[in-house]
Amino acid sequence: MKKIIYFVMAMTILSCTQEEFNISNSNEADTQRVLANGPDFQNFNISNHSALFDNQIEFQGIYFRGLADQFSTTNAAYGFWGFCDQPRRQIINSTANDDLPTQAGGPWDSFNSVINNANIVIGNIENDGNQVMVGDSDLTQQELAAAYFDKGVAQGYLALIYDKAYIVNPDTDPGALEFSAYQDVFAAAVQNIEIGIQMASSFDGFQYSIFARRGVRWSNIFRIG
Amino acid sequence: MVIGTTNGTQTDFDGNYIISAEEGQSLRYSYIGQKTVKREVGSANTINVEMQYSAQALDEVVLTGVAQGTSKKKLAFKVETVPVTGTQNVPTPDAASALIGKVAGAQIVQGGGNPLRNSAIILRGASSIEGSTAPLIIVDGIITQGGLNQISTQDIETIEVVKGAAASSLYGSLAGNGVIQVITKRGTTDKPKVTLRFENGFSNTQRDYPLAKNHDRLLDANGNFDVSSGSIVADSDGIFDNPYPGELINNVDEFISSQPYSQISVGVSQNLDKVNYYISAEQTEVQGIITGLDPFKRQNARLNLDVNLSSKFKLELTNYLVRQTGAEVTQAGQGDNVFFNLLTANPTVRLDQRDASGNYIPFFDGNGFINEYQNPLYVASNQKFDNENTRLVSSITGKYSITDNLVLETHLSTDRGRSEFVNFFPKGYVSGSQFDPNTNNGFILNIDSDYARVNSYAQLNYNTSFGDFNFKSSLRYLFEDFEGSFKTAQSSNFLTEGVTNLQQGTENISINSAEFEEKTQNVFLSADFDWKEKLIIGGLVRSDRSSLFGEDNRDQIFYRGSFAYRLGEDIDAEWLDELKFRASYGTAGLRPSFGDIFETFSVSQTGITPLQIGNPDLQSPTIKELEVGLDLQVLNKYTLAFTYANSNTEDALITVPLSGAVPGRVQVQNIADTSYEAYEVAFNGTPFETEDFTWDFGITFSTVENTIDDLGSVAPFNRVIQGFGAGSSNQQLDADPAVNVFRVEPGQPFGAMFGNQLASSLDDLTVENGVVINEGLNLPISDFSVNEFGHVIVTSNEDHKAGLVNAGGEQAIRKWNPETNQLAVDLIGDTNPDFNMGFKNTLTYKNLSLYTLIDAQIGGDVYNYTRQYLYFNDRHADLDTYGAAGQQSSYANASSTIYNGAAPIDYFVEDATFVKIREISLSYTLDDDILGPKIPIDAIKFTLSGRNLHTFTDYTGYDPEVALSGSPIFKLDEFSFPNFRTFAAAVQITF
Repeated sequence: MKKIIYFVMAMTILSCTQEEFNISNSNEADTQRVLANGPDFQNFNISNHSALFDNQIEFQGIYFRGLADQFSTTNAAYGFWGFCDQPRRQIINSTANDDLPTQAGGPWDSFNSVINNANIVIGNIENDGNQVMVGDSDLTQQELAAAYFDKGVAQGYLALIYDKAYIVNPDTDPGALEFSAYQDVFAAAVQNIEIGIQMASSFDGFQYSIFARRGVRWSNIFRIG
Repeated sequence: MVIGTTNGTQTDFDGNYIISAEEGQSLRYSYIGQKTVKREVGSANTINVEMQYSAQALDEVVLTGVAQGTSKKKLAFKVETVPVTGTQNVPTPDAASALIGKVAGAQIVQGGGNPLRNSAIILRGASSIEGSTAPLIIVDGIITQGGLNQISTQDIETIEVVKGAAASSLYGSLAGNGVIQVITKRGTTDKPKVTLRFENGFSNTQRDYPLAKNHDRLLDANGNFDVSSGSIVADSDGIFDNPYPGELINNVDEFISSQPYSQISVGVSQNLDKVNYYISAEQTEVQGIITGLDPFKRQNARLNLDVNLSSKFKLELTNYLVRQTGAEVTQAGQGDNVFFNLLTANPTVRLDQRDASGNYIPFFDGNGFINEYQNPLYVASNQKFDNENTRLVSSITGKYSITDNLVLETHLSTDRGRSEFVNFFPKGYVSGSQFDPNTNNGFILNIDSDYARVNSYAQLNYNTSFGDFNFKSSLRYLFEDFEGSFKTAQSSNFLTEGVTNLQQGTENISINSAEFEEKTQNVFLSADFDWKEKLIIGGLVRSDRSSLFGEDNRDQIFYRGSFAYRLGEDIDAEWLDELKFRASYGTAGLRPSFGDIFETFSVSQTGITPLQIGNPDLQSPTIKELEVGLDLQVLNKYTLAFTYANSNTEDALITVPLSGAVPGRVQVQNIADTSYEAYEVAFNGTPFETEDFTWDFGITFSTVENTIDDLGSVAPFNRVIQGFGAGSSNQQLDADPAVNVFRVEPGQPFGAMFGNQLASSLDDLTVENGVVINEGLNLPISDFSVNEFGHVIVTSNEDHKAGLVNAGGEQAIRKWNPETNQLAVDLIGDTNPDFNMGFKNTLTYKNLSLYTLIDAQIGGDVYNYTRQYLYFNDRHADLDTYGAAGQQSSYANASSTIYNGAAPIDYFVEDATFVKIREISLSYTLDDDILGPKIPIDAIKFTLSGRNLHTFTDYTGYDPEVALSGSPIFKLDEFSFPNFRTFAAAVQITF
């Protein structure tokens, strides 16, 4: 009987160990790794600038394309001009809209992604009180300014493309998002761009860099001050 | 056993027994795998009984779904046992083929002719939306990483199949898709038994593909292509009725031909007092049906060793080593896809012609309409796409009897394997302008993946009887440790000829790697209780703690309750051997993939972006199943099993696309619900049995309805089919399918196809403001009619109306949705069959035995994208039919009609019904009576056999049995490698 008791006890103890089940994922980075130090933090922000400009270059938003009538090169094919109606039309989720993720979802995801990353930077600096130290330089103000700028431009694109969108700030409850009309999103965009420009103007030697493709680490695309 | 009492005994090794019984009482003699015998006790003190083998034995002990070996009659849920003797006479390198047609509710599709690919299996119904439907594969108690095509059929003693959660709860979060356990041979004779087997044969295709014999290009007066304008041009009448110049060349026949098959095996076994062993070795070689490729080869060896170290301590060892090599053949997509290139090839060009250097020509002109055709012979002679898999499955199990009632069992097992893929194109290789430019002037892709699964458990069994009650219980602690990794590297545009390393490439250089780890501990307690072996009650509770579950939800409980009543024990009828009603309710699960719980960022030079939000609450879905059924056996000859199952999967895993407005694009969530309802019948019998002649048969029938019930907050979506992976890497072997036709939508069957539809009557047209608005035409309905093909057309199209393809031609009109003012999209097909059947027969006359297996799928659809794309390429024979009817080729191949721009349309949904002559073997055995004592051979068996011999079907492609995704749910034919038939002759010598 003792053997049984020992056996059951051993299994119970084994079943209580928890730590070895916390296996980490070494294949991809998480927030902790991405923002581990000043240079990484800056790289994260620079990558967001890069994404913003990539998104603008590759932008094929459905309303813009509709206005240019590049879809059909004919007038009114499939009633496409209807997409320019006010209020803007809803896109039907069906297999006929096979490229829905690209045409409608692509810009939504990519510009919101820029806003999200900017919010991570803003929240980290403004709410958590972190600084961005690269070497001996305190780049906190520069990174914050750039994040506001990114956020504002991305919000502007959302307002141009979509009838409504979310206005999300670092402290917004992700479980209680509510749509705002595109006019409101546009107003928020302008406000954020203005904040960004003001901050950048007050930072001596402000640099806004992007990662360049094909080997060059980054390039400065404009400077303020 | 004295019937009606608990008084029973066991025979000794020689079969002697002693039992006390009154005159007039009846004795029941039973033994594993033998027919039960009843004898009334008379005045004599001795009753001798000779027992015979039975495929329907009630006392057969099953090992799957139960914590301890349990006789079938004491089971309160369905565990199928599949003897493989018939299949062992028929050529196959895949153990999964032993189950086709023999297990009611098992859909097993050999997803292509390449034996490197595992069969796609679904047991009973689908319990997941995104994940695999593949069941858990256990070999001799070893939980493995799957791969039945690496297991030798000659080693198998029997296969046990557990289909739903009601029976598979014992395996918890591993077994939501059911369980297949392979039980391999052990020694059965007290003297060494040696079996040598030689099998040789050949394979070929079952049928020809219907290809066009005409075209719509302009011919000159001599019947040659008119190139007076400098190139081949279209015939102005647009009709597909011009014959190809010269003799038509069937390039499919040139490249796909009869190829050899061989298998050699040896097995030695013995059962001694202290030691039982089975040793085997085997080599299998399958050339398949494609000329010029390296054959599939498998070498495997097994050692099963049981040692009785004392009367209380037994040690069981299992070791299996296998090496598998062969050439991968890409399915789906274009580029180097052999079947795409063969079926689209220009029939005026011989593919086997060579240039001045003796090399095959890389590609051919496509008659001016298609850029060019890649020559598959050129690809096959230059490309290397080798796959090598090695695997070791090994275990050691100790069983120690602490007391008569208490047994401690410990087990350590491992399944470890490595896969290597090398895709190599030499320097100087020419891919052609429309094909993969990366392969030009050399390309190498090397994929190396490995895994190691280690399981260990300790189990305590406590069994006892008191009065008429029997009690059996087990407590097990099981720890699973899995590690896997892969590395891929590629480069192209080589600097040097004849060098095969990675570093010689100058372009397209990339490397990729990942590693995975999983730790899971499981504890279960099972208790089974019966009264007079008549009333059977069982219970099970299991706790799984897995690193794959979120950290806030790391433990999950599974359970089962089961009940059975053997009413036959209360009915005093000589003809009735068994009548049992059973019911079981249980839960099982499916583990998330590694990575699903983690927050991840996509990190690249052009962006660091939150990709996935971690989910600390992620768990296995809970699959709840109720299974009820009855088992009947009469006349010691016939058994009937009926099973009804109703399963609900709650909290199925879905990669949820997020609003995009918060960091992270996706999160894997327990959010969806699915269900299925299944009916299964198995009827087996031995209608005739004399000394010389025996007829055994088995019939299976099953039907299942899979339904998507709820997707939570996720909008309906088209299920992306993921093709076969290269080992455990993130590389797919096949191209992505060209059409996403399978729709996941609440209320629809899982396997529903959605797409556009052709109008077949005037009622199908959409009329608004007095005009038909289909295709944006705005014509009065009086302009429309139904033509000879049953398609709605604009009757007179002489004015070249906007929206119609060709002036003067007809155009099949598609259905329209007035709300969206676009093509209507609706349900166009469902892959789920109405029912599946299998019919197995074994006729034995003296030493001659004929075995046949016919299986059928009735109903269910397959999407024939091969046909759709061959319309576009002007190569399908249907175009001849339309041409003969005077239709322009645009009638079929224009994007705004039947061809539908390669998008899903009901026209290409075909009935997947088939009846297949799956297995036949004819064997004659020279036994020791014939051979005589002077020849030291116990038996020589000669066998002629065939597999996949003929398919009766209306499907227009090669074979309606396709499974590009590795799941039978998604039947999409896109230039698939067709299943082929194999004929073989075998000699088996036993001494």
